[in-house]
Amino acid sequence: MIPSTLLVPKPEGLYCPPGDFYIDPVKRVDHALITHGHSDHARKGHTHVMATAPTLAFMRARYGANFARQSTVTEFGTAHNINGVDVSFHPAGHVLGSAQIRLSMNGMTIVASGDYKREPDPASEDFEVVPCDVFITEATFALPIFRHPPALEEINKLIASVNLFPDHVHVVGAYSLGKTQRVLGLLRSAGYEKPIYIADSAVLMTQIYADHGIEFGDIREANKTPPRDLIGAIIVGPHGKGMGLDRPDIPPVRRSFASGWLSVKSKRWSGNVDFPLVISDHCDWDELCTTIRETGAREIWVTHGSEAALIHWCRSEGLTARPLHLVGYDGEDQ
Amino acid sequence: MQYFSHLLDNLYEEQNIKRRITLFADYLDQANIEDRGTALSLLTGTARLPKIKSAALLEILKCRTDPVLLEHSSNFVSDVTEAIALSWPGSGDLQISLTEIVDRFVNSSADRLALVTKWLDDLPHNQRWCLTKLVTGAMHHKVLGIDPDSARMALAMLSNVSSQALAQAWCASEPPYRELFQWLDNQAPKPKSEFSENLPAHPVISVDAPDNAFQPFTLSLAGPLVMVCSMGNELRIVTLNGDDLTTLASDLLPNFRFEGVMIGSLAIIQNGKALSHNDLTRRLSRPKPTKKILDELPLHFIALDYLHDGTTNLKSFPLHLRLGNLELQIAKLDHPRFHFGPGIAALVFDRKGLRGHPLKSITTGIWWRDQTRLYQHETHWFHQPFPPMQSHFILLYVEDKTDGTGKLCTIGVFPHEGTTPVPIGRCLVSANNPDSAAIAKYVKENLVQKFGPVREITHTRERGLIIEVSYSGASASRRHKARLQLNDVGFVGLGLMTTPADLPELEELQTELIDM
Repeated sequence: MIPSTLLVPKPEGLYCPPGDFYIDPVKRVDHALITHGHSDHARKGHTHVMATAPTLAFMRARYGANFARQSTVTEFGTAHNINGVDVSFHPAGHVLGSAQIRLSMNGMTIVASGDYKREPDPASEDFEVVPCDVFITEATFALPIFRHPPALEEINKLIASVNLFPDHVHVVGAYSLGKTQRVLGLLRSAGYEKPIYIADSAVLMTQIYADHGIEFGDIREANKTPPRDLIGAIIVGPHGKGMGLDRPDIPPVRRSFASGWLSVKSKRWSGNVDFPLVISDHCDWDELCTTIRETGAREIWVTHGSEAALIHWCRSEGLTARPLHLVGYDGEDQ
Repeated sequence: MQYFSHLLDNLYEEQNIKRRITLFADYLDQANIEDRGTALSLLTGTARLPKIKSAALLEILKCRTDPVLLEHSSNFVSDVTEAIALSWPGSGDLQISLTEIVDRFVNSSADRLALVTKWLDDLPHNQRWCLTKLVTGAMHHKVLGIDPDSARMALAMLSNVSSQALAQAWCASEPPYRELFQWLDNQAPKPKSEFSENLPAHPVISVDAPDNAFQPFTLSLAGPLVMVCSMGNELRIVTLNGDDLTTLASDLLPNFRFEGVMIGSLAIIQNGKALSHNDLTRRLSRPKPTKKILDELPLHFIALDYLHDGTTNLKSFPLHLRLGNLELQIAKLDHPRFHFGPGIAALVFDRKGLRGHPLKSITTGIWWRDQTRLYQHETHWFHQPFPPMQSHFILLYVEDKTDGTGKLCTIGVFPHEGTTPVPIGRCLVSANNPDSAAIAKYVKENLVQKFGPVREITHTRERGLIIEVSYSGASASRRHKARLQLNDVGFVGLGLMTTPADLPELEELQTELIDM
């Protein structure tokens, strides 16, 4: 069986003709399998959706109860048979509930990994290597210049800054789903025991983490805290009004941003950042290469990011590689 | 090296001066005594290091990595040295002190490139950026470095030494400042030199009304106050902020054929007329001025005070006696580049009083001083700025600042008999200003078109929003269609009683502002 009879890229997303379903479609379709809850992968309006419980919870929180006509919860590792295609979900380590989707039929196995990371994360499941024939990988940080430092090391920089500037409030910009909770988890792992404040828009997502058994200790809403209590505190979450920094008498702010992109200084992504925190929810270059080797796949399909560099590397390793040119997967979850 | 690399990472992003000082003080606290001095000289730009070219490093890297991947990478990273640091393969665990790196780098001559390559191999990945910046001479003063003032404040945070004593010891010790740090650690006596003992006090610049003893002293000029010191073998020119201009003013200094210490201002004077402050900045901003710039922009020294005449310390004399000596000394020097400052002053209270004055274009106000005072550590120089001019202009474009702090308003004037106004300057209307809402309303109702965040609004002879602004003056501009730009524009209020037809025209402004 050749891989493209099992899975083909279409304008709506990756399509499985024998199973008649899409993976992370960007347009409304009848049957959708969703890898994780970020809004560029999980869109509303599909008829049938299959995903892990946290992913469905995130979609419900974001789009309301009618985000899909029908939804099916799946567990990691549970095998399903959809129109003759064996389908199972495996942890991807990107955010809570993020999955790689394994498709298998007539001896051909394809793994669509969605977004994934290898570094251990207190706020999500650990990545699982799924052997396959064709591995579909993201390429967000697929350049050799990207080598993410250990996240705990970066968090210690934040704590050092809090100690050095005790009269400031430290603000860490982070996407509301995934990054915020990762920063919270890392702060607790690093031994930070004081209350941590979060932005309005991260409250709901953090609650869903708690519902799934991932708690971060004393978490409070920055917006509802008197400004004087924010002296020496850390606020995490998406930048904006929800942090309550537009109120009078806010202590001086030291701004940071948690993102893998900040490892390249000269890009000056960070015009509004006083110190960078290189914490990423994606693999860096070395991890991408390791993962591709470990899956044992002979053919690699590359989506969103620096495809060209990764494809060049795959070919130099003797693997078949092709870009998928899928549109619509950039932006907010990076 | 680990601490220093971490410091550079921090300084690269941090813009706030107070926090930069704290970061630097924190580094000085952690580093050992040798590294402190080395770091200080590197960051303040006083260290003279050899350089290697980043292109040479790139060539070596090309042989070690996949050239295609390297090309993808350096296309992504806009900075070559950073691309090299990030793409260098592997990661080592070399522990090496900053001083050792600098010393070995300076002392090796032929094999410098090999030395750096070895370090790049052996250093941990996150310290390579710091190394490439160091060896390619990219520790630029403004981005990574610290100005001497801030550095001294960081030193003061760590020790209980007065700023005057700190400044004296600073000037008396040479980079890499070993004696200075030994003195701060109580391991050595305070470093001394003829030069540092004669450091002038900083004038206390105050706009409060001075008491009766004070009289108008001289014109205050845009640009730094400097001290020229010619004592024994030392011949130096330093700004009162601690920047050493000795190499920059190389065309001026050899003409100081006297022994002593003077305070004065610098100006670019050509054909008997001072050029703008912009030209002075151009002249002083290059590490090595080209011959063309030296010819085009001759540096002049305007003497204002005399602290030492080579044999006697004049600080114990009242000002009028010091000035008498200064005038004699300048007359004796008899050189077209040296002027006696207090002689230039005339009794003027605004810009109009300076009509035709050679220094008009760079004068910002008047210094007031007490002629009977001795020279003290806290010398009171009162600065009376010229009152700003105010005028009405028509609003052309409005742009909301992305950080929400206000609106940038472009103002313009009509050329004579023209129907389309030309831009002449910009002012910021703070978001807290009560008129901000009125401007926003007008923009909404009279929008012509958008250019990204910029809103063009109706501005004709018949209809337009008039705002009143204050400005310190105007200068010729090559960027503006009006060939004229207003300086230091500030928003005063809405000119609701004025119509576009009442506004001054461009030609009037030109004669009034430039030719007066």
